[in-house]
Amino acid sequence: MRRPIDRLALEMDLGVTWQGEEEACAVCGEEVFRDRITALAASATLSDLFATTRSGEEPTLTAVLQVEDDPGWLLVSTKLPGSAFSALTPQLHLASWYEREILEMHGLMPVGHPGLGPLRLHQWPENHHPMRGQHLETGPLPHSAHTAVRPSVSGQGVFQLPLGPVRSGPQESAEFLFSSGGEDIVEVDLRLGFKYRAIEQLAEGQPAESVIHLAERLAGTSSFANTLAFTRAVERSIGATVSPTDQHARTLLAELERLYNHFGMIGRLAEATGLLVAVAQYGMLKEEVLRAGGRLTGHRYLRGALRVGGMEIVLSPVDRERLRAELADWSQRAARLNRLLEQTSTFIDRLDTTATLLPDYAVEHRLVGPVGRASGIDRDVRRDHPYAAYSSVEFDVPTVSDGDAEARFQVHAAELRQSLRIIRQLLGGWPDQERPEDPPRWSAGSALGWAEAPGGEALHWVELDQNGRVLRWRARPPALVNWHTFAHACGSGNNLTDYPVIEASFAISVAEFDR
Amino acid sequence: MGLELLAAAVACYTLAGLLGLGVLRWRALADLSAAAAIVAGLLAVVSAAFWLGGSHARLSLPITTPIGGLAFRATPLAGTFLLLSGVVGTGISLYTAGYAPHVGGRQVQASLHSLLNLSLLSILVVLAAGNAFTFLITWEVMAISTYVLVTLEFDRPGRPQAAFLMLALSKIGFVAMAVGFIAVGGLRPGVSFTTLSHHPVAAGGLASAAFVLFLFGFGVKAGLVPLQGWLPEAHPAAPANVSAALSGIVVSIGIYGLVLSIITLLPTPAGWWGYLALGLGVVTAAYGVLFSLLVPNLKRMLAYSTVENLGFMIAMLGAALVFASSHHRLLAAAALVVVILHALYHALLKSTLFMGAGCVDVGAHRLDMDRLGGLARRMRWTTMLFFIGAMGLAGVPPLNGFQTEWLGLQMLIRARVLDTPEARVYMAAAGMLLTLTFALAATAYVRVFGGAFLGAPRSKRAANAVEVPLTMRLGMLVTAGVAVITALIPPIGIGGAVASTEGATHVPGLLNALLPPFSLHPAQFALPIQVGGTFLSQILHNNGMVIVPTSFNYAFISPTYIFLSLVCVIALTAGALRLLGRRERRESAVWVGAGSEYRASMQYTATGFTNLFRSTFGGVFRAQRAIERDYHQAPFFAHSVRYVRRMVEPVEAYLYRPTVAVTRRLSVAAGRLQSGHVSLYLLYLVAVFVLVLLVH
Amino acid sequence: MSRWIAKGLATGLRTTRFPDSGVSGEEQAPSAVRLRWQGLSPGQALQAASLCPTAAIEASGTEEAGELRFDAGACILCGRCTRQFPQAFTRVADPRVAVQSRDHLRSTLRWGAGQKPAPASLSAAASAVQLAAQHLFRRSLHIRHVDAGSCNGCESELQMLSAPYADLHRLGLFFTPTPRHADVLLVTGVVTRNMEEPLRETYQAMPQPKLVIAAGACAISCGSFAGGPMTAGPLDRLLQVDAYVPGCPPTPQAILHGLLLALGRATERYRADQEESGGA
Repeated sequence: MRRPIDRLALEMDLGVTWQGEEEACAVCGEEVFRDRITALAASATLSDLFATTRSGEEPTLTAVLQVEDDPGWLLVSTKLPGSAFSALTPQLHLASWYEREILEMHGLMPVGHPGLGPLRLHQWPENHHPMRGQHLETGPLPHSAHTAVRPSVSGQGVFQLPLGPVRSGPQESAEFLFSSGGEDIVEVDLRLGFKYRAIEQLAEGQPAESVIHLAERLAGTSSFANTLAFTRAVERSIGATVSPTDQHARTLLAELERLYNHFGMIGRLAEATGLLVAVAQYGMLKEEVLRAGGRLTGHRYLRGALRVGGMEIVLSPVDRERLRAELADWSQRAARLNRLLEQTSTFIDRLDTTATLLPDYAVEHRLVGPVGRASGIDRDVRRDHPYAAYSSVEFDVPTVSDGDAEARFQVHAAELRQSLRIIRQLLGGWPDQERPEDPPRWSAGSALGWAEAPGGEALHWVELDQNGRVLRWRARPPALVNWHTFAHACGSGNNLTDYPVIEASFAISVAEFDR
Repeated sequence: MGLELLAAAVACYTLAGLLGLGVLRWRALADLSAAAAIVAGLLAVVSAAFWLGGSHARLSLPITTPIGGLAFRATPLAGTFLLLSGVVGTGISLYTAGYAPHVGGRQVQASLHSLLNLSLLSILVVLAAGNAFTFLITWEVMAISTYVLVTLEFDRPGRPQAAFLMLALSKIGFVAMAVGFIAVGGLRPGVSFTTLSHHPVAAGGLASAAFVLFLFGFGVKAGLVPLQGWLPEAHPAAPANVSAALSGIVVSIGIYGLVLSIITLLPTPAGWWGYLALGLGVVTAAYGVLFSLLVPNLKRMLAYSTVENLGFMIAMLGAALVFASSHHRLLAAAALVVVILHALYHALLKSTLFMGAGCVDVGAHRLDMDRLGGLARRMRWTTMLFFIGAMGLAGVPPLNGFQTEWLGLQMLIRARVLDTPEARVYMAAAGMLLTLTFALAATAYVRVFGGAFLGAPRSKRAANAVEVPLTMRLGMLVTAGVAVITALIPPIGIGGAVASTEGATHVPGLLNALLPPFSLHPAQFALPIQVGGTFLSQILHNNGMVIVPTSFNYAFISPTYIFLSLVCVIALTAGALRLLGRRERRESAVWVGAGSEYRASMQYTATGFTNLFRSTFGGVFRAQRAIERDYHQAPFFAHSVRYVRRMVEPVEAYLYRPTVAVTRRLSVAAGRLQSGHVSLYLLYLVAVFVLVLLVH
Repeated sequence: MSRWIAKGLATGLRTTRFPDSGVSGEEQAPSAVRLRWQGLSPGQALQAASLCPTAAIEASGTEEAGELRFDAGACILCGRCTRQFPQAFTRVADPRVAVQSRDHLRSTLRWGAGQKPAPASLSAAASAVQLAAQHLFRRSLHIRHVDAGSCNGCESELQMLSAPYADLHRLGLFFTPTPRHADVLLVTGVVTRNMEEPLRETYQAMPQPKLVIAAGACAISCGSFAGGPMTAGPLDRLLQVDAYVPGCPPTPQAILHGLLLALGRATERYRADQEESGGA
């Protein structure tokens, strides 16, 4: 009984080598790369496309694909003889931003890409590619050379409304240039990259255990999930195993993170619609979850808990009992609040048909996370590619197909319930085994790690040398996929007053994208 | 004296017209022509003073026809209109001296000068017309001369059609007017307006028919829905000084015609006359203001605003008729005062605004408000004068528009005295709609002024705007200055309007009812008397500065005191800030989120400002909005986006076009009568001959 | 709508009394780390420096003679040193960790032949320096926050400030969307090169008098991103900073303390090092 990946690879005439049970690697020539990936993407999902450049070596392009009904991943890579390659974007629109990043960071030109332009480095000179080891001189950057609004908007009486990067409250820095005809949104020119910290470059040459702390600071509110994905990538690369107790702890903390994120998201949604009591109630819930996390791990955002091969902390029975009591309280309050919200017409009416992402569009761009699930895409790496202790718990993956803000709210609320359910199950059956104390044994290699962050699947690919130092780290948090469609969602017949609702319902992190 | 001075004014205009023709040979004659026209205007003003004073001079020329002779008379009713013609005419003539070179070449300038003076002349004569025949003849001269003026810039697209529409509707109105005069028995030899006003001939059904004919006949020039279609087309199409004359004087002549024919020539009105006029007037006002909120062209906006103001005037005329039909003569007269006063104020302010639009056209070469902006820095005088006009018509206290709008609404509130509840409800509903209209008008003027003059320039031409020549500014200053003076000193404006109304309706004591001297009501004015002290005692015996809607049980205002207190408050605040405030100053860039640099496109445009009204009232004009994208390969890679808005003008789409289509079909059918066969024509001749024999 | 009002009323009062009273252990995850120099041997000091992923603990020399430099402003609370050497590195539960001078977060230990490590200089006793315009902001302060390249953890904590448990409004502190109305510029994140200019513009757009507060290890010392190619910070390289709030991210109460400290309504409590008998 062949696996779906094997069958697909056979169809595509690709020779596949398996790394463990979950990762299949294939290499192909540059001339056929585009056609193969495009053909594969018809029945599989292209989840990532990135480049690796090292001085003295040919650049490598790697595509990561998820195949239907297979819990494994297919990685197809190719070596580029020159500094250009055939763009996948004309056939696969979702590859657009990946290829733009490849050009910007590595200087590899995707030939035939219809929409090139700076992705994160809006103020930089055009021929400057950071991952090639080039450095700009210190000093303030020249004021944006790319000032043209993209796309250009014309029309009688159309004007621009700039928002950001310094926005209103304590929010992340990103620039949105709205084109409006009055109070409607005609188009949004989205500019991210103000928070570009070159995290992938900083990691190169560092020991993997130190890079864990960088991975924790990739994004604050999905810190644990991204670090988990990175740690698993390292562990899979060196073949380290993790004890069941630690797997349970990892799962529990990941779900705890999901809990406080979703509480926060619904709270922001309520704030966008002016429902201040709901804001306060969800704010209290989020704070209580953060405090629980602080008690359990010593850090409210669950940092410093993971290490390669296990966990730094132990969850004692006392901790677990206390958490169980709190969980019951949270479940009850969340259920009541959710019911109340659904009955509040001033809230639901603002969300209904706002920022609709139709299922076809969502499928074309393969959205991930609750945003994708609210547009009918039934994907969740916890269920489709089980990791940690997820295979030992039962949970549903809620999906709605309307695609509007109300659907996203419903998905988040349903996922809240599922997270609570998962944590309850975990607390019910806690394995009681000793932790192995072996330090990790380093070896050269590369591997993929994944985890379902609150915003969707986070993929991390790591290449290590024989001393455990990171040669290349590719972080693909879910924001990289979902920001694509934000401009489209804004422009689909919404008003400027809908904008806070749109942003709150998407709940995508800027820091994850900018890295 | 009244008619002699008028004759002198006519002579000066004739001279100015002839000198204008001479511009074809010698350019210097243009200034002389303007000077002559200014003198004519001043003479008209002086003669208006006499007319308002109660002159009843009469003049008959020895030319008679079967439908009447050429007779002229001076009346107080026409006095206010003569005043406004004179002032606005002076302003426009001054303005033309500087503006004409920007309109076109030698030939165009010559036409402009001569025809403008001809039309101003004809307006004076219309006001002096003593009988229907004279009235109609001079009215036609006015209509044709203004028509030719509108087509002056005929090579620009859409101009000839606009002028043709104006002419066509004007003809329809003329026919209606003429038939109306026939119905009241005016087109007969020896019957003058004076005799008709003393002994109205028409009665009952004939009077009602005449009312409708007059309403729609004069309603063409007075911009009554559904006959207002030419106004928003022709006024913007004409050069700015002509637009000023059209919107300022010519529409006021339409109002004069309405008042003259309906109030003086017809007997006591029936009840429904007033309701019809009121209803149509309110609809006109709402229609005008809605469009003025949305159109991006500066002149078109002003034209629609004219429609709105005319609607208000006609509505107040209707209110006057309602009061008159239930024998509340004082209230009817007060409502009529509002009509005439608003005509005066509107003429002064709207001509200022149109002249201002002309300045913008000359200085910035653009009239699209969405591409203007920032003119306040580069064209200071134009901005200030335009601002006065805009504030005045927006209804900002203490200026003109506020006074008449307030007084008009007060009159509608007085509908309490009417007998039937339906009447009261109708008047109240009209009042509500008018209030909404005024609020929207204020928004429209904020939009115009803010969009065109304030902010940063949105196009290169706006950024390089230059101030206009001195004469153009002086022309605007004349009309704006007179407007402000009449606003702040009510006895001038209201006094004139009251004199006109008294001449038309013969209701005594109107001035003291509206503008009472303090001595008449010492109890009511106790506080001002205490505060004012000896200064006030000097004017105690004169008509005061407080406007009262004929009864102290309602509100009363004083524009003068509002103005004085505003000045005091501003002066005190400025002084206090000067003394107590700190004088540190630091300049900093515009805050736009610290991302992109500030661009002029990052401010609200005029169209964007009122987009909300487009969606709210979208049903009225089938507003549609479409977003079109140009892209490479897929909409995801859109590189340009176009935002398209479409709008339909209901009267034009649902009334004019079908009417034109039907008429065309009818005329094609009728054309079959002209088959070209001689035998058929002979048959026609015989048939008509037989008919005539039979009838006679 | 009335059900929401009823719900809000039924929930009652949950706000902490901080700073009027201390915080219970329940409320607080550790806000910073403190060095107990007497619990550290030279060998351990050198080991600790190799453990620390940032520049928070640096050591030079040998076991015979050397120096340990501890910088709480670079501490990202990873927990390695507190787990490995709990007798020397303690977690501080008291959220009053904000300081007004960068040096107050630093401590240097020197050891020579045969001697036990001793601090080269005791960090200066905390003192509240009255800033020129503090009296203007005593009752009401408007904060303009700028995210100059953080991971979003600090922003999440700042958003928790508006939640009922911390609630900054009761202290007269408000977030404002425009710098023109702001009194304090609160900066989180290493200052990335892309955010350097926007940060400067925001500072320029604020009227005098104004204060600047650096919140979080990234803003104080660039944390894990120090020396990175996109790092233009730390904040005090670009602007004059009036208060520093250590933490990664700093807890809401710590941020509150930092704000109140800048206003002169609170005093410094934190010391980077302590003697044997020092309390938490």
